[in-house]
Amino acid sequence: MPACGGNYSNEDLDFQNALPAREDLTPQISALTNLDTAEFYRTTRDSVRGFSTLLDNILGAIDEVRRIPATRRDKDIRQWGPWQSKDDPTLQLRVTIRKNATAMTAENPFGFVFAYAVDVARIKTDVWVNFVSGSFNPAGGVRKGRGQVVLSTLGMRFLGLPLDKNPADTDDELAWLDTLTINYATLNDVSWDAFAMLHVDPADAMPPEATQAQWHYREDAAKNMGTFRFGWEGGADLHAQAMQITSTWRLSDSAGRADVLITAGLATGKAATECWGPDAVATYINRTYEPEKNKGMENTCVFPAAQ
Amino acid sequence: MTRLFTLAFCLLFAGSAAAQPAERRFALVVGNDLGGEGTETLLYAREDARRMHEALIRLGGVRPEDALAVLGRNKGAVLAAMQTIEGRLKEAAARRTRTAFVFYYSGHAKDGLLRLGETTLSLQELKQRMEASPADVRLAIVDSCRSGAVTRNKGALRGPAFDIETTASTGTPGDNARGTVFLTSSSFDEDSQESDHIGGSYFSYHLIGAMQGAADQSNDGRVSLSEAYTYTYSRTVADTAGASGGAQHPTFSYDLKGNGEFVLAHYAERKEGLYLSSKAPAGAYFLVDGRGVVAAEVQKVADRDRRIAIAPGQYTVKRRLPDRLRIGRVNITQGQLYTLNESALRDVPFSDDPVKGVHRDVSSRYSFSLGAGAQSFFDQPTRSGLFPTAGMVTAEFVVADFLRHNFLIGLDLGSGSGNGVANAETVSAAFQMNQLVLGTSLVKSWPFFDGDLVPFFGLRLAFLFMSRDFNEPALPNQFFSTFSPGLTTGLRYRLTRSMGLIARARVHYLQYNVGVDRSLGFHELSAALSYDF
Repeated sequence: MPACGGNYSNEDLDFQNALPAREDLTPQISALTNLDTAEFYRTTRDSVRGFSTLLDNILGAIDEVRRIPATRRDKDIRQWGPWQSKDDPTLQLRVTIRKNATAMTAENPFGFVFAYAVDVARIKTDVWVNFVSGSFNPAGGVRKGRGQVVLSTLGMRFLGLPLDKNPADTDDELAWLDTLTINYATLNDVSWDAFAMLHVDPADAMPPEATQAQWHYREDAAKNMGTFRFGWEGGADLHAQAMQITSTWRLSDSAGRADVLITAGLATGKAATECWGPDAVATYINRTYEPEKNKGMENTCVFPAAQ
Repeated sequence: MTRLFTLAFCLLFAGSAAAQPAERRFALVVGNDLGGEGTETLLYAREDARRMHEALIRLGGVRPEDALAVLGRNKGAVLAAMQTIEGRLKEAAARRTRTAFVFYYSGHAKDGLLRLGETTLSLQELKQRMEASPADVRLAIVDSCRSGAVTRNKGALRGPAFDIETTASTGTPGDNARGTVFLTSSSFDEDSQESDHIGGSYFSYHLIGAMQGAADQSNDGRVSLSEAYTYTYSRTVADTAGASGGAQHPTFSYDLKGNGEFVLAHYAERKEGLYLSSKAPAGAYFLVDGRGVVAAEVQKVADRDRRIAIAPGQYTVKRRLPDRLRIGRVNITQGQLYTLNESALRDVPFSDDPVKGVHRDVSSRYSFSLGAGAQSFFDQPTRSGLFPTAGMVTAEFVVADFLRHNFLIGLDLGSGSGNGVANAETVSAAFQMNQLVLGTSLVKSWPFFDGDLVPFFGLRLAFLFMSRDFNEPALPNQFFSTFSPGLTTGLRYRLTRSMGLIARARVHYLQYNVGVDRSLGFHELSAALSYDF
């Protein structure tokens, strides 16, 4: 009597658990908008949103796939697909999660890690290139652990596969990216570091806005504090070829501050500090490069300057 | 030849039914639709017995407290009731009260045995028991196949029209008649037949009709035993002559000594009934009850009035003419004799015949049940971490006797849920399992006590859709669907005519193959309330 199937399985549950929850990786900052919203609050918020969207695109696809029954089920492997891409019928996709044995350590209490991969190929071919790879080191909770996600467009570029649904719009797609590496930990407090190598096309007449970018996020629930630091290098702007912004805010009401430092270019050393209240209106502005905009007292800031 | 023989019988017994002896009458009425192994369930045996019980009380001079009815019971219950009657007869005899004992049986009989469900009662044993009874007059009426075996003597020849056996040494019964009379519905080699049009057996139907007055040839308001037999015989033979089962010939055996005739019914003592004046047109009149079943019929002859002591109720009177029907509604009320007025009848075509018959089509009995129960897997780890014990609500639709008699086809739908904790290697997560089950079953049933108690056993195939929602929303839902074969058994107890209580147990096999192959088993226990359409 053959079974009709499904994914009702305690073993499958381990594989379904081998991916961080997107919500855990998304920085908590409220989306406030006022007529005089603080400029660096807005920059922080938009950067958080942008990165969250990127994470959604990467992890969301895997997240959805693991809800459906695996196509292939071996002892330590679950594979979904291949199936035809809805966005591009010329492509086929597959998702694989493997359970690999490793040494049992304090940081690796189960003695194995999960490795996952999203591979892409042209339809009706068997030449697969990796698009997303990663690992998850379970820590014992529900989707809690440490791991890495690597997104690479290099293989797809090698095969000449399209990266954008709409090539004319490069903002929302991945054409600007070569690789993105995210190391994360979703234990008691969430933290992650991301590093992106941006795509430089020699054929472009204009130099790129940047060649690499970094994002770091630390959440400290005990201190009611979230810290988001992002920066970029290799910019075409001669005054600010590299910049670092560190934003710190209260998790409870998003009141916080941002410290900006230009680290390369003609304006190297220029800095700015901006603090805002729960209403996202600036309470303190101190810019070394635009002193006419300075206002307020630093003691209105809810946090001291970042270390 | 038949007429001559009937006439001789009537002359022998009919003339002296004038006086009703002061006697106390007792009755034991037995009816059982079931005859055990190798027999089909009868449709009307129990109903015939119920009607005879009512007729004996209403028309036969039996007090309600002296009329015992044993319906759908086995031999032990019958003998116990007979013992009760015998005890009362002895008490009456001690008081020098004249007594009569009427035993009536409707049900299966075969090989000289009355078949009472899974038990049997020998006709010879019944005969001996009757003859040993302290009653002055003992009348046994047996309505069953081959019941004539009880009246058949070795070497006796079957009569030209009906089978009369007599062992009486003197041929003149009197007022103080004593002895035993056997009346059977068929000869020793014949089947007794039932009819949907009359909702009973031909024999019992006509015997009751005789008691209602249809057999009163002398028109004296009483129906003697000989009148009743003569009428019942002729009507039963006439009705079954064209039936596929062949003509059915009731038999009569008596061993009465003394003077007088045994009066079976004093129908005229009942005030209510239908009266046909002498001026009413001659012909056959049928009284059709609300179910469309012929409840009584009477043959009206010209210039002679007729009366039929039918029970209170609303009836349609029907008289058949060569090219049409004459029908009209009558309402018989307690204590009132309704005189039929011909002008109250109207002409209708044959297509409007009010006789519909009892529609007990064995291929179209349906029932619906609602119940609740629990499902549990046998394997403990499975039960605690994969498929937890679940409470279930169920609904089932059953078609009975569609393929074969006493076979049931069921279609059921169930839903339930249970809570458990999934222990995977990396995570432990509480969940709620939800389940939807669609099943079909083929079941054999064995009705006992005329269907009051019906055990059943059969096969079932179920389609299960199980899903589990983890309390932790970060974990996606899981589902599993499969076909599962199993066995089902249980017991249905009839609460009322159409309601029943079902206790059911199911055992199922389930092949689980998500990641690993495992053979699992589970059982379901449930109780349900059923309704028969």
